[in-house]
Parts: sequence; C-alpha cells; structure tokens
Amino acid sequence: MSMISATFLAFMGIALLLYYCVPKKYAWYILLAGSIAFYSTGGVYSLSVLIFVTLIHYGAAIMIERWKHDQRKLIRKLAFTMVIFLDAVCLFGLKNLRPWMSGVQWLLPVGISFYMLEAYSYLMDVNWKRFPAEKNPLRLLLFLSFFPCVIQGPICNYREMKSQLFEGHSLRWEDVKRGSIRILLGMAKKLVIADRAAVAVETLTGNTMEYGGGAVLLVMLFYSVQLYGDFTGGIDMAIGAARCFGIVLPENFDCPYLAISIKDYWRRWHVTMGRWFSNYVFYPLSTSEVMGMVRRRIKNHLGNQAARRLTVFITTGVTWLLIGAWHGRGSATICWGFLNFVFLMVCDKLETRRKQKRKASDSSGASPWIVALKVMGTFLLMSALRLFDCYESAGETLMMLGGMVVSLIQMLFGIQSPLEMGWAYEKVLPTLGLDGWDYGILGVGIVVFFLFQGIQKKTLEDGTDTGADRLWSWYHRKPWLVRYLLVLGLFLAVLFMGSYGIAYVPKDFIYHSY
Amino acid sequence: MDIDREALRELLLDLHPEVDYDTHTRLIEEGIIDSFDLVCLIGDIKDRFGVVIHGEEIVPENFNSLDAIWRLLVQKGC
Repeated sequence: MSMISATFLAFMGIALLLYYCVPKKYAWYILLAGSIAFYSTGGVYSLSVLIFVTLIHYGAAIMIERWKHDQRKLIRKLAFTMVIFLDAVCLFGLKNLRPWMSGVQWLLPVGISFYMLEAYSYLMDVNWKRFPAEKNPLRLLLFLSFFPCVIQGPICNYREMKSQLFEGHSLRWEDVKRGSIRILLGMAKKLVIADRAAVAVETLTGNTMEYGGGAVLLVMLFYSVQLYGDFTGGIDMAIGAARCFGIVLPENFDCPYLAISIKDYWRRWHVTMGRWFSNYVFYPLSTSEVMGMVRRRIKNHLGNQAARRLTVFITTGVTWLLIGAWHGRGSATICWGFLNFVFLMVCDKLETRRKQKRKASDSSGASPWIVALKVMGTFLLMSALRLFDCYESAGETLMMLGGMVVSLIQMLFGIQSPLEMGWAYEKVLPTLGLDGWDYGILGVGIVVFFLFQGIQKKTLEDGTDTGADRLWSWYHRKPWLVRYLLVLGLFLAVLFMGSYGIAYVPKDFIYHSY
Repeated sequence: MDIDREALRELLLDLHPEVDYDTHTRLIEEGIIDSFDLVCLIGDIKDRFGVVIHGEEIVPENFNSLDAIWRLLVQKGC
C-alpha cells in the first residue's frame, strides 16, 4: 500500500478510530493488526519473511538471556553467531546480488534493509544487557513491522519505542493536528517537488550520450532536489502518521542542505542510519579485541600517533564500505561509500586543525560569505557523490563526472562552445519533459523549503532541539489566520500542483528499493 | 572496581601532553579530543581498566573533561 493513496488515508482513519476507542491496554493490538494489514499488501511471502525474522531474533534473544551460565553456552554462541551471520548476509549481501537475480527479485521483501537493522540492534542490545529480552513475540513483531517506518525508516531502536508502542495513548488534538500537518508537508514535498524533478532526472540519465558534459551538473541539481523531496517527504509522512497515534519517532534530518562540511552533512542527513552504524559497527569495531591488537602492533612499530590514525582509518573505512553495501547497488554504492570515507577523513583532519587554531566550536564567528561558500561547496560535493545513485554503475558515474569536468575546462578555454558541451541550459532545459509551469513550481517549491530549512536551523529561545520542533514552534507563534493560510496553501499545493494532477499515480519512494 | 584517576590522566596526557586536564571542560567541543583520539582513548581504557564503553555512551558530556570521563568509568566499573 502506497503511503500516497486514498487507501492509505482511509486505512489511517480506521486505525485511528479503533486505536482511540479500545482501552489503552489493548491499543497496541490495533497497531499490530494495522501494521500486519499494511505490510501484507506487499504479499504473503514478504509477510512470512518478516515473521520469520521476528521469530529468530525473538528466540535468539531469549536464548542469550537464559542460557548464559549453563552447559548450553556453546549452543547459544553458535546460534547467536548464525543469526548475526544471517543478518549480515541480508543487510550487506543479498541486495548487491540483484543484477544476477532477474526473475526472482521478489525474493527481496520490501523494507527488509530497514527492519533487519532494527532486528539486529534489538539482538545486540539484549546481548549487551541494555534491556531484557522481550517475552512476548507479538510485541517484537509490532516493533519490527510498525507501519509508518517499516518501509523506509526512520530506523528506531527498541528502547526508545518500547514504552511508546505498548502503553497506549489518550486522544490529544495536538498530536493529531501536528501529525496531520506533517503528513501534508511530506505529501507536498513528494508530489509537488520530488516527482516533478524525477521527470528531469529520468530524461537526463536515460540518454547519457545526449546529456553528457554540462548536463551532468543538471543531474546533480535535479537529483538533489528529487532526493530531498522524496526521502524527507517520506520520513515526514512516517513521523506524522506515528504522531497521530501519539508516538514520537526519531527525526531523520536536520537541514542537511545547509551543512557546512561533509562531516556536518552526515550529522544532518539520514541521522538514524548514521546513529545505527556508529552504535553497532563503528564503535564496537573500534573497541573490539581485533582492533585492540592491531592498534598495539602499530603502536609498537610506528608510534602512538600512527596507531591512532590507522585505527580510525580502518574502522571508518570498514564502516563506510558497509554503509555503501547496505545501500545495495553493488559497485556504485560501495564506491560512493569509499569516497564518502575519503572526504570525511580529509574533512576531519581539516576541521580539527581549524578548531585547534581558533578554539571555537562552530562557525558563529565566521563571515556569512565564508559560511555560504562552505554550504555551497558541501552541497556540490554531496550532489556529485549522489550521482552514483543515478547512473547504471560506478564506472559510468565516474565517466560522466570526468566528462563534466573536461567539458567545463574546454568551455572555459574556448576549445568548445557551451552548446556542444551541454552547458547551454537554455537549449537543454526545454527538452527534459518539464514545461515553464513545472519549472516555476519547482523554483517556488525549492525557495519555500529552503526557507523552511532556514527556520529549522535557527535556534530559538525555548530550548526545543530538533529542526522539526523549531519549525513547529515558529508555526505556532504565527497568528491563527497565517497558520490556517499556510495549511490551506499546502493542501491546495498537493491537490493542484502534484506533479501530474489528482489522477496521477505517484512514483515509488526512492528508498523503497533499498 | 577502583578507577585510578591519575592513570586515566596519563592516558589522556599520552594523547595530548600539552593540555591541562584540570582546567579544560570542553575537550570534545573545542576539538582537542577528536574522533581519532576518542577511539584510541576508548581502546586504551579497555586495555587499562577493562571497562567497555558502548556506542550510546560516546557523547560529548561523557568525554568533555577528565572529571566527566572518570565519573563515567566509576559508574560503569561499579
């Protein structure tokens, strides 16, 4: 079931009605039934895999807890290792085999990348005694299948969700209102901006012979707009849907396109994924026996400084290669992960040096022009890296990027004309499948959401911490007429400016394929 | 478990001999201890005191000063 459909809105209405009508103690059963109903629209096979994953993690966690101090310790270790191995294969291996799975693509259930991360974190947390194993498998099933986030996140952990999912909530107008507006905002981002930009991206990447050189910069820009609208819009809808039930999901974005460095960007983009990889890959690997041994050896031979640098290099490198593998497009995403690692290391070094010199923690003292340049530089760098999503393979992406740089040099030195090199945008833009009206709407939409990001980034006095909270505070401070006009504007935008009108069937969310 | 504060100071001095750890209370925010140092420090702490620091505990508040790190270790060691 697509979250952008009348069926989903009807489903939400019925689920909300039942959720708030039954006694609080039983409300989670409604969420469970709703989540199973939502996910089962993807097919019985997908649902069976989800239930299987739940059961093996449920069983493994119980076993870890109960079989700690007896003769079955060896069996426990073996079973635990097998489950972890299965998780690793599902998370980092299977999806990369897609090119060789033509005809059996259905073997990869939708959302498996996301709920497997949650299942793994649950098992590891029980293993690390952060909380006791869940005794009721249905509760674990609800955690893994919770419908707003089962398909594309945000990636939650059991501890933050447990009390919220199972305690039940009284109906609060504030929750329903805030959730509904968030859903509307997400729909606007997806339908008005992302799906419109997607048309240009498809045209540009569908014909690499025609749209090379300067046109690659257009792919970077249009795809950045598409991904922002698509992914943040989808997450807005997920967070909004959960909020209607009184459940607060973790935020996944904090003004990512206003980041001043690649390090800052990864603190703001897909935050819950970064948190997961830090907690379950980077830090455990950094503190593991193996890395301890490696570090000691390097220290003995090359000294403390080299040991420090090389340890972090190895763990960061492994983490980013796994992040690339998790995205599941083979060499393209693994190359993307590797380049992110390289730029992050360079950025880390430069940032540390700068901070030590200035003894300042942020850019508050820097000139606005310097900050603007940093924001633009980061945006362009990240947009270039995103090209690995757009083309068939890593090789093709590197070729297109190289072609763009060469064409720019040739144009600047007058060797070739802008028209020949794809830099004559007045000739290129009309061929991308969008008309003047579309470009106008895209332009206005980008400006509006850029302003929203500005509001979110600005820290207010009331101490609220996430960008979404800051935006909500800003909205609440407006007179009632302005608030109603803003919501009405969003509603009308979705209704009349959705990329192809009301009858259009929206494109799948990009992260549905991850 | 007894956590020797002076031994912890030695580990920190091994990373940055130039820093006065009695006065600095923003080691992370000021970039004195970076992610490179942090991972090394956590490894050293594990080797020296046998205390394992988990990912969720790696937040600036726990590593901003000698005192904060020592408190974390005492709390975990008990």
